[in-house]
This record gives sequence, C-alpha cells and structure tokens, in this order.
Amino acid sequence: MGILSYLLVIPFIGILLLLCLPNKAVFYHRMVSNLITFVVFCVSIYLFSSFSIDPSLQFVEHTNWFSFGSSGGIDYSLGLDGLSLPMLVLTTFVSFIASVASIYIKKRTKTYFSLFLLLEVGMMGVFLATNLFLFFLFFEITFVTMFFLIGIWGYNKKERAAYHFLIYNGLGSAFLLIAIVGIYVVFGSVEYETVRKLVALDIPSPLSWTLFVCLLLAFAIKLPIFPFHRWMLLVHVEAPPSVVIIHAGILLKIGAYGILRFGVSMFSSHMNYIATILVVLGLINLLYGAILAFAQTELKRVLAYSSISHMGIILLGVAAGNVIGLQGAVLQSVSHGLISALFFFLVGALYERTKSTQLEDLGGIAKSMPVYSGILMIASLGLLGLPGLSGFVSEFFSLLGLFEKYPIYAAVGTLGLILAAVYTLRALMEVSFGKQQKIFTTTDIGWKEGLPMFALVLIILSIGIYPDLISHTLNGTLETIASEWRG
Amino acid sequence: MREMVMHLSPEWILLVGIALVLIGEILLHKDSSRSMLGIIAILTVLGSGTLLILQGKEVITLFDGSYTSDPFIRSIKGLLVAGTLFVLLLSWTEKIVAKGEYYLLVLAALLGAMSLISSSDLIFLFVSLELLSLSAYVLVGMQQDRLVSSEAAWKYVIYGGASSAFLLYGMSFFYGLSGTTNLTKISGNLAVAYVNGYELFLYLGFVLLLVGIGFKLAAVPFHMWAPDVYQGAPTTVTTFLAIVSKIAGFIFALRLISMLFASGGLQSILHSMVVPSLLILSMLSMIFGNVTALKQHHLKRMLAYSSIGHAGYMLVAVISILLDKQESSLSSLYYYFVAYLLASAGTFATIHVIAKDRSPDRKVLSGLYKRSPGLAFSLSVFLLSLAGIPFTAGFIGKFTILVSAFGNSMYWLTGTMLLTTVISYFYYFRVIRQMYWQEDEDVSQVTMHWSIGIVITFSLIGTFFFGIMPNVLLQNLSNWIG
Repeated sequence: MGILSYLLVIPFIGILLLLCLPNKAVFYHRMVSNLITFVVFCVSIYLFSSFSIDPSLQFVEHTNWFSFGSSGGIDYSLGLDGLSLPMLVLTTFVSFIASVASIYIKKRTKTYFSLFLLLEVGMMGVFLATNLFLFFLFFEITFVTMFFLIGIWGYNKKERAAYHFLIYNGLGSAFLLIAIVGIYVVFGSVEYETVRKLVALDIPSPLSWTLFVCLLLAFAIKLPIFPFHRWMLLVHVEAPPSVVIIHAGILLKIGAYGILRFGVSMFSSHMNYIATILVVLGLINLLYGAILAFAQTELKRVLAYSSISHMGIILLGVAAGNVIGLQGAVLQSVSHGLISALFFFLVGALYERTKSTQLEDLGGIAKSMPVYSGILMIASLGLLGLPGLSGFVSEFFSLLGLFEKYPIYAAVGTLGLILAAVYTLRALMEVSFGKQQKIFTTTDIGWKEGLPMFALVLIILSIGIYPDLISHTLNGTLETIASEWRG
Repeated sequence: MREMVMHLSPEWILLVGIALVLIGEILLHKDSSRSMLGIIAILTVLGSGTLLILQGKEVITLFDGSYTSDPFIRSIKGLLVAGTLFVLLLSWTEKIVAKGEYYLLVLAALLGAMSLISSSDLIFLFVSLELLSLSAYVLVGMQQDRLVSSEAAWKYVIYGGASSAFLLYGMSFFYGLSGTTNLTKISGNLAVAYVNGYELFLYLGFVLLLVGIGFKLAAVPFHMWAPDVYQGAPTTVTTFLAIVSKIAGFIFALRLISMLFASGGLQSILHSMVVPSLLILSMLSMIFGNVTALKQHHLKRMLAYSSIGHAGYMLVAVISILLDKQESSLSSLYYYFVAYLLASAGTFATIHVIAKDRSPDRKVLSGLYKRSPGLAFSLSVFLLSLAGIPFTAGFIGKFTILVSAFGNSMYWLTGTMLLTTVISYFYYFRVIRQMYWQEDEDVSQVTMHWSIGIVITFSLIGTFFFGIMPNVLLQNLSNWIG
C-alpha cells in the first residue's frame, strides 16, 4: 500500500474512533473529526511539496482487482498529476474547514461526523483515482453520504432538497455508468491513459459520440450547467452550512474536474467540435446566475446563484482550450472553492446568531460585529473578483484564454464580472451596513470561528498575489492537454 | 445402478429427509415441539449441499439424457440450497400451526427446484415444476389464521394452475412437431419441422410457453399474482418464493429456451421472435416493477414490485446469454443471483424481526437507528445492494450485466436498466430515510432469535465481501464453468 491508499484509510480510523465513543460525547466527536481532517490535510501538503513539476503521474499505485469477460481487467489504481493535485489539496483543506465549521451541528453528532469522514474519503478518491471504475465508486460514496447529510441535518425543506439531490445526481451517475460500461466494452480498459490513447486513435463514431455526450451530461448535472441547476439551489439553501461548504467548495468542482479529465483530456477530438457550444453554455450560466443573484432576497440564494455564475467562468476557461484558459478554469475551481467555503462559514455563523438569512431581516451587522463584517467584506470582494484576491486571477486567466479564441464572447463574458460586483455589493451593503430591522443579541465571532476564517482569507490572499503557488504544478499537465486538443 | 445413486445423491438425500420428517411428524405428539424436525430439515439441506460440492466438475447425463448436471447447474443448485437454508433458519421462530408439514413442503419444493433445473425432458421438466409449484401453493396458505394468507394461496393456485396449463399446452405443440420430449434431441427435429412449413405452430408453441415462464419469473405482464402473494404469505415463504423459486425459474427458462432453439436452423426464430419477446418482458418488468414500487407503503408489497424489477434485470442477463453464449454472460447472471440472494434474504430477515406479528408497513421502521442500530445498518446495506450502490455485491452484479448487455449492442436495454435503477433509488432510500430520519413512534425493543441473527450476519458479510472482492467469485466461476 502506498501513501495515497493510506490517505484514504485515515478517515476510516476516525470513523472507528467515533463508533467507540458514546453518543453524548459531542465535544470528542468534533475533536476526532477535526484531528483526522487535519492529519489528512497535512499529508496532502506533504504530497504537494514533494510533487515534482512534470506532467507525469506520480505516487502511482497499481494492483489488479478483478477481471470480467473478454475485456482487460479492472484495476485498483491511484495516482496524482498536475490536474488532480490542486483539487486534492483543496479537498483536504476545505474538509478541515468544514469540519471546524460543524460546530453548528448539534444533534446526532456521531452519525454526522462518521458520514462526514466517509464523504471525505469519497471526495479524495474521486481525485486520486486513475481509472473510470474507481472514479465512479468514489463518486457514488459522495452521492450516498450527501443524501443523508442534507436529509437529516438540513433546514425546513430538507427532504425536498435531499430528493432533488437524489434524482438529479442519480441520473448523473446513471449517465456516467453508461459511459463507463460503454468505454469498458468498446476499448477494453477503464484506465485514463489507455482509454485516452485509444480514443485518440479512433475516428469519432456515433457510439463514441454517445459515450462522450453521456459523460458530459453526467458532469453538466454535477457542475451544474444551466437547465440542470435546480437541485443545486435547493442544496445551497436547505443543507446545513458545513455541508454546503463541502458541496459548493468541492462537490461542484468534481463536475469541472470531470469535464477537464474526461472531456478535454480523454475525448479531445470530440470536445473540439462542441467548444463553441460550451462557450455559449458558459455565458448563459454566467449571465443567468448573475442576473438572478441580483434579484434574490435571501443571502443563501444570492450565493447559490453566484455559484452558478462562477461555474460559467469555469466552462469559459475550459472551452478556450489553451493553457491560460485551462489554468483559469482550474484556478477558478480552487478559488471559488475557498471563497464559497469562507462565505458559507460566515452564513453559518450568522444564522447561528440571527436565525435568519433573509436580507430584509438583516442589516447593520457592522456595528455589532465588526470582525465578522470585516471578513464578510473580504469574502465579498473575493467573490466579485477584486485584484489581489484569488477570484480575480482565475477570472482574468479564463477570459484571457477565451479572448484568444473567441474575442466577442469574451467581451460578453466580462459583463458577468460587472454584474458580480453589483449583486455582491448589494448583498454586502444590506447585511453589513443596511438599516437594522430587528434587534439581535449578537456577539462577534471568537477565535474558534475566527481562526479558520483567517486561514481561508490568508490563502485566498496569497493565491491572489502569487497565483504561481498553485499554477506551477498545473502547467506541465495542462500543456500536454492543450497541445493534444488543439495540436 | 450404483452410478445412479451416486450421481443423484444431492436429490436422494432430500428425499430421505422428506421421509424422515414425514415419519417424525406422525410419531410426534400433537402438542410437542417440532424443532427436532427443523433440525432434520436443516441437516438434510446441509448434506445435500455437501454432496453437491463433492460431485466436482463432472458432467452427468442420466435416464437416457433426460437428466443432466454440469458444473454450472450444480453451482446454481448450491444457490438454491443456500437460499433454502436461509429460509429454514428464518422459519425457526415463524408461527405456523402445522410446522412439521411446513418443513416437509420446504424440502419438497427444494427437491422440485433442483430437479427442475437438471431436467432435459419435457415431461420430467413439467413434473418437477409441479412439485415445486404445488408445494409452494400450500406453503403460501400455511397461516390459516391470517385471512390474507389464505387469499394469497387461492390467487397463487388459480394463476399458477392456469399458467401451468399454458405451459403444458405449449409443450404439447413442441412434442407434436418433433415427436420427442427429450430436449437434447428436440431442437434438430424442430428445425426439420420449421423447414417443412410448420413455422406457425412453433411460434404458437413459444407464445404459450412464454406465458408459463413469465408467470414463474413474475415478469410483467404475467406478474399479477406476485404482490398479493408476497404480501399474504408468511415472510419465510415470501423469502423462499423471492429467492429459490425465482432463481430456479430463471434457470428453467434459460435452459428450456436455449435447448429448444439450439439448432442452427432455428436461429432465425431465436432472433426474430424469442429474443424480442423476452426483451419486451424485460423492459416492461423493469419499468412497471420499479415505478409501481414507488407507491407502496407495505414493505413486502414494495419488495414484491422491486423483485419484479429485478426479474427484468435478470432477464437482461438471460438475453445476453441467449445471444452470445459466452461464459462471461453466464457468470454475470450468476453474480446477480448471489447478490440478489444475499440482499433479499437479509432484507426479509430484518423485516421479519422488526415487524414481528404486525403488518410490515413502512412505519414500523421509524426511528430504528435508535432502537437497534445494528439492524438499521444491516437493512440499509441490503437495500443499497438491491439499489446497486457501489461496494455492495449488487453493484458488481449490475455492472457485469450491463457490460454483457452493452457487449451485445443492446443499448436501449442498458439505458432502460440504468434509468429504472435511478427510479428504484427513490423507494429504497425512502425506507432508509424512515429508519434514520423519522423519530420513532413506538419504542418497543427489538429482540432477535439467534437463527435469524445468523442469516442477517451472513448476508451482511457476503454483501460486502462480494462487493469489494468480486474476483473471488468471478475467477472461480470462470474456472468452474469454463
């Protein structure tokens, strides 16, 4: 067993520890979860620092698992490359933050943290897997655990949200499974590298187009791309904040990762044909999300629509297809992951104190909670893409990449950035400075909440100032991908 | 003679067991416990299983070719034995008036199922089928004090009787066309009849057969009996029907169809008539079973509809086998059987424990996670396996079937299978939701007899084991069958 397998096993140790603890020991449940997610984070940092900058797959693990039929076997194979490494670190970091942010969870903590750690295994596995079958297995872990996390610990309409999640993502998994079965039958393998080479040799046929479209649909639902976004709104609004941190911070990015990994990298010749469609879809997401975000009267809904809008930018970066655009897409995944984690941490803290996230109920928080509103300000500025924060870099790269190929579309895309400033500042003004509508007994955030928030702010700031921190690992892999696509 | 005894030993020992139970029932006092007979039944079934293993990879043909047993059939018999063993263990605490007769009938039904899948002669086939069916009719109605049980038995008898008639009529066509009842010879003769212009009768015969087969498999549109019978029968008998009777039915259908249309001259019928009609049955079963299950509150009824859906999935595997005759397709069907057996046995066992004497509405599960975390977890795993979620045996089973179906270019069937799987998430997850989200309305303690504990533990371990280490079974299967 290599280090990546150990990484996947660590959370299970935490689950075992949790099972040994009594139901009432809430404090210890939290400590176990925080400790385990922190250890996992440290391991991933170690991986990050010992990753050598070249496009090859590293820390590879490969064992035969089982074989079926005339096709080759299905293996247990893990590895990291420039694309998956940043996502892995994002996952472990956001998981740690979400675990800390779970102080707002008060009932059935033992079950909650067990599921939470299982979810982390699933998310890490998704990025570590180097074959489709394994990817799918881990993907399904996140699917099942999220259903429970939303359904048991959510707000009023949690059941509706959970079932929407179930049906949309169930459909997504079904499409994904069709594609995987098809790829396995047609190409005789599910390993990323093998399949990629075989697809490149093939002339696009109706069958391979079907497989490609199935893959794309699966991740279009996950990302989500415009008509498939309903479930994601409900989850944003109804799930507990710590779960939304995971959901907005990481799970949506699985969609982006999937499109990059399976669309751009694996089916590059097919992707070429639909790049323009992707640009249009991206613009729809960007503008639709931004405009609707402006019309919302509830903070969580504003953020949900802004997530849709930001996912549009990822699509634009992907569709650009050059190194800069792809870099922008990955950076946007990471940056939006961090910023939305920070935002939903803040939302959780706010709801804990005010029991409301309606914009009309809030207002004048800046007076009673200066530290809180300071962090809220930074988060908002990050969201609207202020230079110096991570959001700017990623959006800039995506649009710059797009400009090379589709200057007109890119010009339309910049509109989205202006709209982002409009809806974010509007929400910020109402929450922080607006007229106080209700009298809340509010205390400012203490170190328990403040410390992880500061950590997030620090990272958002450092990526904004020095984007190479992340993008240096990316370049090699992305160059290979881009050269094959447009080569 | 000696050879005959040796080769039929798994069946003989059942016959001996039946005789012992019968004698015991006569000798025992009316009011005394029947657990002795239960032990005899369990030992008999265990013995039969051991003898099956001892037979090894030999291919056996007896009685002028009307009885065959090869490694694949023997491995299926192993499943039947395992399923019956589970049923017998569950029966230990089942409240049934005539317990002695109950054990006797279970053994008789197993004997019928085992000879059914071994028989290569139409008459032998029909006799075995009737042995299985008649025992099952009585078993369903064994709880005379419950009105639904008797009602279910009546429905089962009437539907079953009618479908047997169809089956027999269909067989008579094939006999008339070929002049033989021996399935190994029948196909060649049928091909001659086909060439000579008796095509219409072949089609007619097949349609009649299909009714009988469809009934046995509970495939839509011949499924009407299943929900009522599953609901009305004692839970142990439902388990028997869902597992043993169903698996035997599938192998019976597979063997009958593949042997009838084996000859090269009949390939056009196979492709123009047999496969498309099975395809329709399969699609209808998947869609109708899963959609109707959405509306059910009664757990056993819901499982009945879900098992109709599963029959659809298994039919997909059967069609793959008929088309490609690959060993991998056979093992995909077998894998699905194993997964389905474990998950169903576990599910029924858990429901049996929790519901006790009450009618198992979904509500009895409320707040189970508090009352009995172990049972709640086990039932969740079984349901996830039925739903085909990864890391359970059900997923690997479904995956292998999908691969076979896709390999035979049955894209629509693959798509339907996956979409109906998504539908099935709804009702499986709803049951899990009931256990974990709803607070309990009743706080009665759940007590469990050790015999049921064994079944649940075995099923749980098996479901995980075959979900995580599929190679153990797949590899052995391909060595064994191939």
